[in-house]
Amino acid sequence: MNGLRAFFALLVIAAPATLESQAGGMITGRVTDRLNETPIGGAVVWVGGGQQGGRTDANGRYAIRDVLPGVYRVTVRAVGFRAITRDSVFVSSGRTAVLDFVLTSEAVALPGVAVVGTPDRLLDPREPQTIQQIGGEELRQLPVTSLEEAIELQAGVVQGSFRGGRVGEEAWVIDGLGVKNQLDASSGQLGLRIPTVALEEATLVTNAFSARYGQALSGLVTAATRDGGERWEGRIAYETDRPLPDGWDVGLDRLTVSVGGPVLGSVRLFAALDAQGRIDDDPVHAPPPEDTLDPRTERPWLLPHNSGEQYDLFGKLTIPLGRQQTLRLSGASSESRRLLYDPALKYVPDAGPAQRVSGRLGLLHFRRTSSPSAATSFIVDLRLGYFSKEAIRAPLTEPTTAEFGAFTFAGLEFAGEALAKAGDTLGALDPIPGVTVPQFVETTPWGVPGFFTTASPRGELTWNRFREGRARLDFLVGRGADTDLRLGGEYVRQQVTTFTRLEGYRAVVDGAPPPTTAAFFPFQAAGYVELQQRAGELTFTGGLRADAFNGRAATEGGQSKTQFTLGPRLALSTALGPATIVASWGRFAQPPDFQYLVDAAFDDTLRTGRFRRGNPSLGFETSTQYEFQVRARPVPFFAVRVGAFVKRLDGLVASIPLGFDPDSSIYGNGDFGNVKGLEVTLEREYRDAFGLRATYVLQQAEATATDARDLFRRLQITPVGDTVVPATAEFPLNFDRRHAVIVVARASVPVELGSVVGGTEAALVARWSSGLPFSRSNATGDSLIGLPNAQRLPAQVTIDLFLRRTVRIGGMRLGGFVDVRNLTNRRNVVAVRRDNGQPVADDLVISTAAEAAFQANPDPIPYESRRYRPWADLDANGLVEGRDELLPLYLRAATDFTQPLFFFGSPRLVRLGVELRF
Amino acid sequence: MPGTESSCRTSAGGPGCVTPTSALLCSKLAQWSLRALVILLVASVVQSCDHSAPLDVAEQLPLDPRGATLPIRLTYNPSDDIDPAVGGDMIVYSLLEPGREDRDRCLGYLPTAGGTRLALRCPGGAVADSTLDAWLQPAVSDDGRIAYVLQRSSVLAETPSLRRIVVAPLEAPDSALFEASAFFDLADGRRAFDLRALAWTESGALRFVAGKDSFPKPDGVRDTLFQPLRLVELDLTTGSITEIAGTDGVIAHAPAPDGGIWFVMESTPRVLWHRPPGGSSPDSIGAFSGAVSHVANIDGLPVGVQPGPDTSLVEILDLGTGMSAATIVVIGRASQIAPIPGSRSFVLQLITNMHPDLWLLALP
Repeated sequence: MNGLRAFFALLVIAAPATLESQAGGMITGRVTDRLNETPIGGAVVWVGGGQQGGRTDANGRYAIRDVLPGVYRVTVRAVGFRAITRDSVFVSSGRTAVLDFVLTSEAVALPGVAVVGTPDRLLDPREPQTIQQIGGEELRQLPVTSLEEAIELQAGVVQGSFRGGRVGEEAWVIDGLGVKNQLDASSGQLGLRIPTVALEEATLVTNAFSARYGQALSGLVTAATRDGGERWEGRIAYETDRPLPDGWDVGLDRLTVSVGGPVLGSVRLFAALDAQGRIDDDPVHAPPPEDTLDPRTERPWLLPHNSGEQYDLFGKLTIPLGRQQTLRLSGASSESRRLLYDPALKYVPDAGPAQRVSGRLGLLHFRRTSSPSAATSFIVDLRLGYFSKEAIRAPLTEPTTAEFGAFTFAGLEFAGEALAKAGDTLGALDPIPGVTVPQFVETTPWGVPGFFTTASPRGELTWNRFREGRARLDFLVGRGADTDLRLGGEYVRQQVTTFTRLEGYRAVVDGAPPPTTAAFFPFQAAGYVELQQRAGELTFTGGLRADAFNGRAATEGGQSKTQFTLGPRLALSTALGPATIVASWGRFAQPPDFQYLVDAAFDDTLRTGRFRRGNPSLGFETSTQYEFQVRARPVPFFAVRVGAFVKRLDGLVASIPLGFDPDSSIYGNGDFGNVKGLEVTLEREYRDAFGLRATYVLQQAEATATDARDLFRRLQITPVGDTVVPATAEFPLNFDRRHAVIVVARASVPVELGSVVGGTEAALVARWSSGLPFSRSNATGDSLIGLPNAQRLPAQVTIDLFLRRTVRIGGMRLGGFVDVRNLTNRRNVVAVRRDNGQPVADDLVISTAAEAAFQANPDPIPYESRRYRPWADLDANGLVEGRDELLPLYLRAATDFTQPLFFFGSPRLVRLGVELRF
Repeated sequence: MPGTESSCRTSAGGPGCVTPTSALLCSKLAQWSLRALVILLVASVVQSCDHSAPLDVAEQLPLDPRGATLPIRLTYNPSDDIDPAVGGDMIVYSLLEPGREDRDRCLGYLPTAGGTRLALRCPGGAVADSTLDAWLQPAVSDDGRIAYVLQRSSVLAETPSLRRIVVAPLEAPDSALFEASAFFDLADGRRAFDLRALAWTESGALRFVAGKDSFPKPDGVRDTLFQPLRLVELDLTTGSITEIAGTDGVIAHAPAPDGGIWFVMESTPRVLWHRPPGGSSPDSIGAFSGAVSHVANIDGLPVGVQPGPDTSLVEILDLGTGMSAATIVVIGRASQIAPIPGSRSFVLQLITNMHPDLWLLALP
């Protein structure tokens, strides 16, 4: 055995590799006779009402595969023996629960025994994957309010980037079905949120993942939702910061409700609602202005026209169909509405653009399992899903009216939404109804025209909709307790519709960029096969996935081609001495964002009317990842996990200049890069009222370009069509966070310590992370200074705290909690100006802007004008005129306008909550 | 529920918990009551607490008139402020804002006492940048409407290509309720294509001096001279033009207290004529001391403006004697005059330094 172990260890070292399987968990164990401790073959073990189960082999071993995360009742029956049942067997995704049974003969009066073995998950070689698990209950015990926030606590995740990759290189799997915003994942949102109260469990995999899943390069987030229980249970919670004083109160109200139970016979229902509103949905901890006339001087909080509300709904019906079939119907709906603060509109709080992102998911899951008594277990899963995501960003036709906190309860009325949905580019040649012509505001404290406007100068209307129907079929064949074979495939039919119109307040004939629209119907298809074989303490997993997609966006010469790619994945894990080692290798692929397949006109902070040519022939973006991990437990309850990985990224989408026109380019699979990293986790398991996990990540992520929309391009195409290939220098990727430390501690006060604090639970999350890279540019933003992403932001530190106290009152549990983010109220710099590398504009920038505004508007301001400010009329002649009187006003206005609000992170945020569980 | 049972047991023997069944009911009732109480308590606390308000951007406070004693200069705009009219407790006038990119002429709204402008309304529309649009000669009705002349010309043209009379809500002059061309033929066949002294009548019609322009080039530079033809009334219901007999060559007019019309003729610029209501022939009712260009009815008195190059006179005519009753001397070249109803105050357009401004004065 030792020789075999050594052989595989050598194999692992020689060809570092891993992979994994993201699915349900497994219940395995051994059934023996109490009388003589001999194994009992042919015993049947099943969960719940018998929907899933397994039969013991001659060695008395059994395995029940792909059990959805949850708490189960497990029963064993063997001929001649008393049947016994074990309640509360917890199964989590990707993990193995060991449950041994000791049966007694019917002739013997003694009862049987079921022993739940708790295999050391850290050292269990049956877990080759590096799964970072987030239980639904844990979500409620940490200072997090969403799954996204919980994921940010895991190693290797930075603001939506997984292990240094670009944003959008991850995929979501909800109840076994892939969900991805394939339109604009790199710059947009998924649009769908599962309420945290509806989560049974979520997992994050950043190293490699099962061949079952694709559409991702760097990470996989799986969410398993709750089923309704066997009795009615519910929870209602309300959080707010209303009682807090000004400056601490950002206008938060959040209501979460969940309820579940049997509705008709064995049919169970679960439903959840999460509604949240914040008057300032993106609070910033920017320093107050020094100018006493600036209204922020007195009230440096709650930015106007920055509120947001979101509604997340989830519902699920679990319908057993006989003993071996189960049908699950679930649906989720999310909608977020945001008013978007614009510094130019600071003095017209009712104006400004807004954004609505909505997501819908419908899922049908039919599962058929083989009889628990079958020698070979067989599971078929058919999933049919519909996912849509729609986003619009445009000016509002009417100001919103909040009814309760930030909740308006009504939808937003966007200018031009009907035009956009109809793709009416002809009608959009005229000014968009409801989009106001921007004028300089008269009522600023400074009076002078410039900087502050009555409506957005961008007048932007962008709308897009992504829809997909997905059919997926999975087969799992389990032979004995040690061999699993999975195979299956999926087909995805998609629809992409986009519409963009800039400067909607004026007609195209008057100089506005023409509207752009796109509508096409891509498809994706995939097939996979994956084998997992366990032999003692060695587990081998190998898989192969084939992916294809066709954007089916028309090119000049016809339809785009279907792209193919293969993704082999291997993983090997074994115990080696006091540690377990895991090695994995995998090749992963994802189609490019479909937004890069079509032409796009857009503007940025520097210029309007920029144009990017889409490329329907874009191919897959790929990554190849190697990982080697060692897990050890030097002392009881203390775990050490060290993993090193190398990820090769290739075929990344980049924008490539066309000719020498800086405003014209085309997308191509032009970039490549490397991510190398080391992740170290030290964990003191939660036991005896205390637990702690500390994670350190050292990482280097570099590529030949920093961003698909950034200024630097690797390739250039000259006006005559030649391709210029510059040196293959690599620069830090935007999320190249070199060092990150995350400490999560949990503790509880023993109940014996008294009724006041006894039973109080506490969780603390401390984070330190080195700064992200950024590029310096010249004042106009057209030319980089130095190398791309050669500069670094300052390090960030946050400490979050969560306290909960629950009491039982008359059969229900009433809890109160306090959630504090950024406890120390540290002012974290999250971005800087590219021209000076600081959050605050320097004097030269301000004076230059003021001078430019003065030169553009040098006219005197008469007394009767609403712009007239008596204190600025130095000679008191009824006119603010000339450089001496006007320029100081422009300087103060420029200082006001350039306040670095969103260059700073959140201030201390406190929320108080009560919850009632019944 | 275990908790339910134990709580009922502990309360056994208490009021309402005599039998097991009633104890269970009591317990469930108590639980739901307690839950409802908790929810109500939280709801009431929430209801009583308001959130902080977002950043409040206070409006800049309007300024009082600049000066406490008459005359008060109302406008300091270094460009033109012309055509004052008073109505709806405000002064409406036409102005050209310096630095305005499209060089359109707008309407300004001032408090009748002066101070910070209440509003500024300017021509908009898709063609604003390729044409010069001017809103001129505003007149405010008692029911909150404004009438004005819309004059449009190409940026390269020397003469207007469009001139219309527009009626709109006072607060939204670009939302036209009525429009009529200023180009029309009089009964005698003469074509009118310009107008002056636009005013509302008591019956809700518009009264103005119909005329035409000539474009002499006395010094090689084209000038625009208005040639009055006749006083007319525009019926806003039918859009028809009614010519007022006996008003050929009228240059200024004002409503008389008896419902008739006071007016001055180009041929006899000192003489104030009165046309009684009902359409009888006009009579001469007095003479100013010099030629007047504009007349007004201020507090029931006929007031004429005698412009001069450096100083101008505002003269009150005594209706009893037909002679001058009082004269106000003002520095600068005066022109349009707009009475402030219900007072002896008036707004005078005065050129003191190249460009016309508005001043607030009062009769002695």
